[in-house]
Formats: sequence, C-alpha cells, structure tokens
Amino acid sequence: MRKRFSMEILCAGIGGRGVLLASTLLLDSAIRKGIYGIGSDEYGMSQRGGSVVSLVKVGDVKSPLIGKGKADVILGFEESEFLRNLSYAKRGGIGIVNTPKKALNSTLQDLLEKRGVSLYLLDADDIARREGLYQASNMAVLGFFSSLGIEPFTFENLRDSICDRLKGKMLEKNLKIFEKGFEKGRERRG
Amino acid sequence: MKKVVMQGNEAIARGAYEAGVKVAAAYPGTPSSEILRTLAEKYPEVYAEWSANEMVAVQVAGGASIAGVRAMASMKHVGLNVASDALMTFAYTGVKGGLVIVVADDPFSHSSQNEQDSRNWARFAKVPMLEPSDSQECKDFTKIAFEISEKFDTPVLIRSETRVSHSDSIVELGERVEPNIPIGLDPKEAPKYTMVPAYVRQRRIFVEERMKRLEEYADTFQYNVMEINDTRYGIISSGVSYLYAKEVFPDWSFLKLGMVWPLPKKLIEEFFKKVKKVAIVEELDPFLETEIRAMGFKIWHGKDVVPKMYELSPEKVEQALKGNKFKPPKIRFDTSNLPKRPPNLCPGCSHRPLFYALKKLGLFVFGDIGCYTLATSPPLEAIHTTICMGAGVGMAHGASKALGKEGPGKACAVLGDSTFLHAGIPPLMNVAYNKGNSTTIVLDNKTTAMTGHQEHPGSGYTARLEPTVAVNYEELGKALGVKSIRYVNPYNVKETMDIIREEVNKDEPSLIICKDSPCILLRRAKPLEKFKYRGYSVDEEKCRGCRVCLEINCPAISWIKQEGTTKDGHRRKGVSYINRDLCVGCSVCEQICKFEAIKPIEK
Repeated sequence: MRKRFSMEILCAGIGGRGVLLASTLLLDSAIRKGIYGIGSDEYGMSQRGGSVVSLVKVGDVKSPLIGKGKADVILGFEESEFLRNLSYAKRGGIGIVNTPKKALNSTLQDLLEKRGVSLYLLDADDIARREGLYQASNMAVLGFFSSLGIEPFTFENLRDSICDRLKGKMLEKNLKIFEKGFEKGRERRG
Repeated sequence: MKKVVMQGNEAIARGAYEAGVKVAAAYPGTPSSEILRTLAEKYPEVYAEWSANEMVAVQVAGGASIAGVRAMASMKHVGLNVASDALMTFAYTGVKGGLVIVVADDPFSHSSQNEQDSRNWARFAKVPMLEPSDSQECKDFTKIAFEISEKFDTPVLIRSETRVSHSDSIVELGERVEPNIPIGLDPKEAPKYTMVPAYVRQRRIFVEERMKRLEEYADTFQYNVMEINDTRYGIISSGVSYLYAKEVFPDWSFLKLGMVWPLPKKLIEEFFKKVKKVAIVEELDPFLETEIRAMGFKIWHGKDVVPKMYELSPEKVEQALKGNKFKPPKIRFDTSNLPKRPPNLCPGCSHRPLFYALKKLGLFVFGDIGCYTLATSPPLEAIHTTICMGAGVGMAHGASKALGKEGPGKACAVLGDSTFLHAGIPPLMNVAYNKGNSTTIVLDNKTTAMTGHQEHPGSGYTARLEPTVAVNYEELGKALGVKSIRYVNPYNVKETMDIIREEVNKDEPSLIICKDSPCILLRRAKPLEKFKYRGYSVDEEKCRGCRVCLEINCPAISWIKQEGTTKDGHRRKGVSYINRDLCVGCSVCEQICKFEAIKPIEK
C-alpha cells in the first residue's frame, strides 16, 4: 500500500488581513499538482478585526477540521493569534510568525523546543509596509514558507497560484512582497 | 471535465445550474447565503431571487415546479421552521418539475439562535433527505435530488451544515442539461395541488406508498455506500461526520449514507451481518441511532459516547470511540492573557448610538435577529431578548399587556429592516389591531447586513442588482393602523433619546424608523459622506480619563493607563485613545464626552 501523505496547515490572523486569501492560495497550489485538498474557513461572526482561522489540509485527508496537536504548520499572520492557536501544533511541526520581535518569550521558546517545533520569526508587516501595501503582509509569510521547499508549497507553485488569483497592480505588489518573504527565508536558512 | 476548487455552497449552486434549474429563491442565513448569491451572480440561465422570507422562497419554488420547471429554495436551519408550513403540504401535493429545498444546519451555533437538527424535518414531512460530505457531493447530490424529486413526485431536502457549506474542495464540472418536462399550468391537475380534505385523504395514501418506494430505492441508491475493511469494527455515518470518522479510523468498515431519510433497511441489515461491532457517528440528535435501534439492531456505540451537542471533530470522534485509550495532546500554554477579539459592531455603525440611547433610557429591549444582537455584549448590554425573526415586536406587545398601566415607558422592540419585512409586519399589525401601546423601532440600514449584504424588499435592488420598488415603512405602518410614526437619526444621540422617550411613554402603538443610517460597510449608500469630519482624536490636555466614551464599545477607542493631570489641573488615572485608522468620524463619542476632550480631524 502507498504510504499515506498529508499536510495540515493552520492559518491564524485577524479579519481583513488576507488570511482567507492565503489559505485559498495554499489549497490552489496543492490542486495544481494534482494533490487532493480541502479547506475550511471560520467566518460568520468573524469580521474586520476579529480572530480568523483558516484551515488547509492536503494529501490523504478527509475532513476539513484540524485537531489539537495535529497541525504540521501554523502560519501566524499576527502574533497573538499564533499564540492562541499553538495547541494545534504537531510535535516536530513548523511555526512561522509575523512579528517585529527577534525572539518570543523564553517559556514559549522552551515549550516549542521541547515539542521539536521549528519556529521562524518574520517581520512581514515591515516587508509589506516597505512595498507600500501594509495589508499584504500575508504574502511575505507565504513567501517565507515557500523557502522551506515543502511540496507542493514551493516558491514556483505558490507564485503561479498568486498569478492566477490576482491581477494588475495588486498582483505586482503582492508578488514583490511574496518574493521578499522568500528571500528572507533563504537568508535565514543560510 | 475541468476540475476547480469550490466552496460547498458554490457547488450546490453549480449542481442546480447543471440540473437545469430555472427558478431559485432564498432568504439569506448563515451558513446558506452563498448558494443563492452564486446563482444570482454566476448563472444568468437561472432566475434567482431573494424572497421576503423562507416560506415565500419555498412557495416561489413550489409554484415554479407546478409550472413545470426545476426549482430550488435554500435557507439556514431555522429558516425551514418558517418555511415548514409550505413544506409539510408540498410533501402531499408532490411536484411537476423537480423541487429541492436546501437546508444548512449550524452545529455549535456559530451564527444562529439554536442548534436544531434538520434531519427531523424529513421524517416529519415524509420526504427524502440527502446529506453531502464535501463539495463534489454537494454538486452531485443536488443534481440527483432533482431526479429523485421527479421520479417519486416529492420535494427533496438536502441537508448541509457549516463545515460542508463553508469548506472548499475539488469539484469536477459538468454541462447544464435542462429536463424534458412540458412547461405550463393545467387546471385539470387541481386535485393534486388543492389540499382540501377530500383531496388530502387521497394524497395521504400516495404519501405512504411513496415512502415505501423510497425505502426500496434507498437500498440501491448509489450514494449509500458500504466499505468493508476490518470487519471487527464498523461505523454508520453521513455528511461531515463521516469524514471525521473515516479520517480517524481509515481501516474500519463504513456504511456511508448519502440519503439519511428514508433509511436503507436491507443495506443496514447487511452491514450488521458483515461487521461485528457497529458504532453510529452523527452530529447533534441520535437520528440514525433511534431508527436503527428501532429496527432491532444492537449498537456498539452511539450517543452513549458521541457528544449530542455542538459540532464533532476528528478529535471528538476518536476520543468517543477510543475512550480511555485516547490520549489528548498536552500542550500547556496559558492563552488567558491574549487580547480577546469578540465580534463587535463596526466603527461608525448606526446601531451603536441607537443602543447607547436605549441603554441610557433604561429600557427593556426586545431584540431580534441581526447584527444588533452584538449590542448584547458588555458594555452596551442593551438587548434583553433574542428569539426568532420578528419575535421582539410580538413579545413587546405581550409584555405591555402583562404590565398594563405600568407598561408605558419601560420597553420597546427593535429589529432590522430585513427582519421587519421578513416577519415583523404581522406582529406590528397585531399591536395596532389589539389596541396595544408598544413601540417598534426599525433599524433601517438598507441591507441584510449580518449575512453579508443581501438585498431585500426595502433595499431598492433585486438579487441581480436591478433597481426595483422599495417598501415605504411609514406608509406601511400607517396602513397597518399605527398612527404615531417618527423618524430618528441615530447619529444624533440626544434627539434620538428624546424621540424614543416620547414614543415609549405614549399609550398607543408607535413606530420609529431610523433614517440616513445605512450599514457603514454598504459602499453604495456612501455611508461616510454624511459625517462632517474625517475622524476624531482625543485632546490629552482635556481628557480626564473618565471612560464615558468606552461605554459605546467602539473598536476605535481604547484607554491607556497613565497617571497624570489635565491642563487645568484635574488628576487622572489614564486617557482615552482613538485609533485613527479605525475611526470613521461618526461623532458619537464626541457627543457623549462631558469635557469636550474629543476633537474633530478635518476631511
């Protein structure tokens, strides 16, 4: 029997800041490669400024929900929303957080280290602000994530998904921010 | 064919399109709203309308069906309560063109006033119900529902729910095929569609016979699927619950029911023969369990371990069936210090000053269904009941009759424009007719805001955004017999309070209509233009840190702890702060500040 493959990603952020777009792009990238995927958005009561969680599961997955301790990746588009969803992080998983900080508090770092979670901090807001599109910091986080080269979420594949979903000036700026995020990721990883 | 990612609701709309549906009607409600919106925006071949309420939507679809076209109505779970009067009798008459009613449940009440399980309607109305798990099934089941409807001469229910309607997965597209049914009305068919007692009794026999045929059909229905793997353990499930169970126990045997009513008796019997221990995994009520137990089968586990309220998840299913062997992941991290982000009225929302006024007047507020339920949260806490669409108006009248002479000045009913047109007219008429004295306030924001800006009979636009007539609330109120009708501009807090005070104290029915108060997010209505200033900021020389401006619970205003003094020497413990990115300049905080410490920023 073929080995089961799956990748579960939790995107956490606040409303109106592109969390849902980010998860749609992740899902598109899987489907582009012929991999099954399912996404789930929590909205309804969540609105501008409210907590937003969006889930993407690809591979041999069935349901749209992610259980505690099951997320391979947590993309924190905002620091406190990342922390709020930490209990979903899998042992040995990955966390990427949009924050200007150089390090999170030490108890937290210890906790993540103990669970083998690789934590990456990225000032995505700063990258987006420099490109003049503050609300597109999500693209920098995605770019950074793509630098890890985890199939199907590679740089090329995610870039193609962005090109499919956006147009004109917005596409140009979003791509630039995405690329900057990718470069930061490569520098960071040496 | 082309494969695309689609949300469950979009896939239901696509299914209706491919099935050749000609008429679709709905009233918005989370999580069902995107079905009709998709039909209206993407498929011009389908006539799509926002109906005044769900019962009207089912009537519209029913009429279209009798005229010989395929028709669909969609709504949230509580919407079917409203539409049930029509459903229960269309169940007798049957259909000509396929008639499908989509009902989207909301386990855990993400955005609803209750958590009812719509599967019960199928058994109650004696009609079949299909339940998809993912977007592909949403499309496929919708298409086959129309075939079942025509083949068995019955309305067919499709039950979705939040995690199916609002999930995205892959859908393979197909072509639109219109059915070959003659379009037209035939008076000779009256006995089929006129449910007077003599004809009812004839159709009653038909309904029972139809149910028998449907039961046989269920045994062969292609989406009732048996998967025999490990025969020691098996699960009977449907919808998203099946996905949770399958994900956690991929090697167990499954009986996945695409049709949850009527149940495939032979298939169930066969499954019990093949599998040793059978558990039933279903969200909310023990619907399948009750029926399967009544068939005489011994169930290994059901609602003895699976939660009967809130939504399920892979984790909950695993925990339920593994019992003590389930080890929950332990991550101890204190999240209590994180900023809370509860839903709130938007900055500049016209409901905020209105509810602030009601609070200051000390009124008991009979609320209703809409964004304004957010005024329940502290510090506004200005809604005291929320039951169902239109309830506040009827309840305020009942309370006023109970209080008698003590009544005036104590209470009022508040509801939105869309809610008023949906279910508020009969209770307002009732107030006038029965010599009541309650006050009804219509928060006219020109849209159905909570569910994402759908049009309604008072908005002036159809679902396809064509201009149309708009209800005149004043004329309507007059026609219902209400004599005291006033307008308020909620952004003028003092005037609003004065008018409401006068009206609630009158010993006659009153109707107050909010004017120039469109939803702050409704761009078409240019809601920001009427504000004189671009925004407001706090004059730190004057702010005494009294926190009065926090009472309106505006997301743009916060308070910073910082000991100090004002310019004129008043000691203070902190100052208010207005976030300029969020402030839209509605001026409500400026009006309530007692120290003129909030000053405008020019446009």
